[in-house]
Amino acid sequence: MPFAPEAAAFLAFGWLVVFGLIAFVAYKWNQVKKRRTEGAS
Amino acid sequence: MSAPAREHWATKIGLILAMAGNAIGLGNFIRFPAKAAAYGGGAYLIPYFIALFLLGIPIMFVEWVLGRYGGAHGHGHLAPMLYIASKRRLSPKTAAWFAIIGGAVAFVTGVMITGYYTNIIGWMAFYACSSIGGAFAGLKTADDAIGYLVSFLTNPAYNFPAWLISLFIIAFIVSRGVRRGIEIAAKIMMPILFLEGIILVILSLTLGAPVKPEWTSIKGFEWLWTPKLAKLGDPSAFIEGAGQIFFTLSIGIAGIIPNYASYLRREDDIPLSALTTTTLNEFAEVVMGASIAIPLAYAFGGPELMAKVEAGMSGFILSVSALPPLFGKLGGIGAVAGFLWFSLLWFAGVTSAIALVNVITAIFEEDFNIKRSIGAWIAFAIVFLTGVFVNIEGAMKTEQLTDYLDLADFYAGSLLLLVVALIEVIAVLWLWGVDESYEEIHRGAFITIPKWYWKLIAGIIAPIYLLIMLIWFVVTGSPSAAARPENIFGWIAVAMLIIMFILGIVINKAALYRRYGKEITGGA
Repeated sequence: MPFAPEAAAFLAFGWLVVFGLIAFVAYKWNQVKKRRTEGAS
Repeated sequence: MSAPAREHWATKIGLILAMAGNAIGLGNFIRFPAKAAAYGGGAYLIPYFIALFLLGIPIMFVEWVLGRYGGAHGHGHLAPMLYIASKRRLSPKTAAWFAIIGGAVAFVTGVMITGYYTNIIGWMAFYACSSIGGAFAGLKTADDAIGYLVSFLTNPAYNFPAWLISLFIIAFIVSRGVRRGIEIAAKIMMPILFLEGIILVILSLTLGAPVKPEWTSIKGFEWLWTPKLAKLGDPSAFIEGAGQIFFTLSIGIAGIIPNYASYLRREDDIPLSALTTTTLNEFAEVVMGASIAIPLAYAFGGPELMAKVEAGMSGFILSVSALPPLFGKLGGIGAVAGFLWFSLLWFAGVTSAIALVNVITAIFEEDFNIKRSIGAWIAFAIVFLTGVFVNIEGAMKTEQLTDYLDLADFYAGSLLLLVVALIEVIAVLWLWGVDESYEEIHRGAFITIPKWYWKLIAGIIAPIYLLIMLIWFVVTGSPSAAARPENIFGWIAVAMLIIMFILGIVINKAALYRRYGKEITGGA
């Protein structure tokens, strides 16, 4: 697939920020879930 | 005085979906890609993300904490929230007027935006039905598609019911309440929206070249992301990036985020929930929004059309001029894709408009003891009044069909949002106080916001950024055609803005004095 490297770089940058945010909030929610499970047991 | 009992969100997921629905609107899918194309392609992400972290996220936190704090005191709209936050450092009378004016500006943005925004939602409903009904098959060129739009806008037999039915659905959902109406609607509509978006992204990136062999949709995707770094030398790229963050996160709009946050319990988390809704919005915008309209439009019109987008063609015009003929050309799949695209825009608009109607309803329900089931229809009547001129203008003219809408959008939908956000930041960070608001936002918090971020970014950088935007907007925007009334519909929009501001003052003053009259007049 022809895709200019500079376009690919900015696409990667944008998606990295967004998926980085997704990973961060997912990790934090998982920690909350774990804390609650530990607290309940 | 004890706060009256209020509804709360039934579930965390319901809250997050409703908040995300509030934020995710038409702007994610049609405004963002057009702005990115016009202001640097992939390079546009630099000013855009700077604004997200310096302006969007901090103001999001400000609105959430103001809302939850207001809700704990029985308030669902901005004026009393601003009052209780600012009276800590202002005299009750000064705080009251600060709050009344802030509330009135928010009221103007709410009723005026809802008026024209629900019209656009109605247009999307009509287009979704048109696509599935095969109407796009007869559209061969962009001119055909524009002709189709004009014939629709100038025919009240089509555009009036499309608007009224959408507005009716929105008011009906609001009238059912937070749990039984808004939350259920969000739980149904948001998954549909994301599913439609993902299907459209896949279709868009695998479409190939239905019009000319060299105009592949993937080439359009590449075109959008190719950085034009020279554009970053223009300060307007930074203003536009910040403006997009405002529109996309719905910050400063009528106090709709504080309103939804007011249904939180006092010990409910704010920082992680607010960040999660922001993240969902960014996914809908940067990943989905950038992957649909531009690649599809490129497949239809190639580089020539993209040159027009780069020169400033609006995302809305692009969506209604390039996409319908493309969908028409694709036959049955195109009819379904067109339905998915315009119904996605309808869902995105409706979930935002529900929040707009709800904040107007909250004023009547909470401060004038009017039942929600009636308050929602009073809000419907006010929105009818501010929105019907969009219809009347279309029915009475043959060209320049959106003067009322453009002027209302310029003032209520662009300029006044900044004023509302600035007032909120001043109320929370400066008048309530950095330490007090920081402590409040961390009640029940799942994550900790760094103190420096709250103090420096939310307290200093964000208001300076807002002030620069306001000055820039007034200086560069005032000469534009949208800012000046040039005919009767422009003047009607000016009159409605003034009338709604006065109505906002009267309603907010009455609401505030009903609850805090003795305190404000010194009789407590």
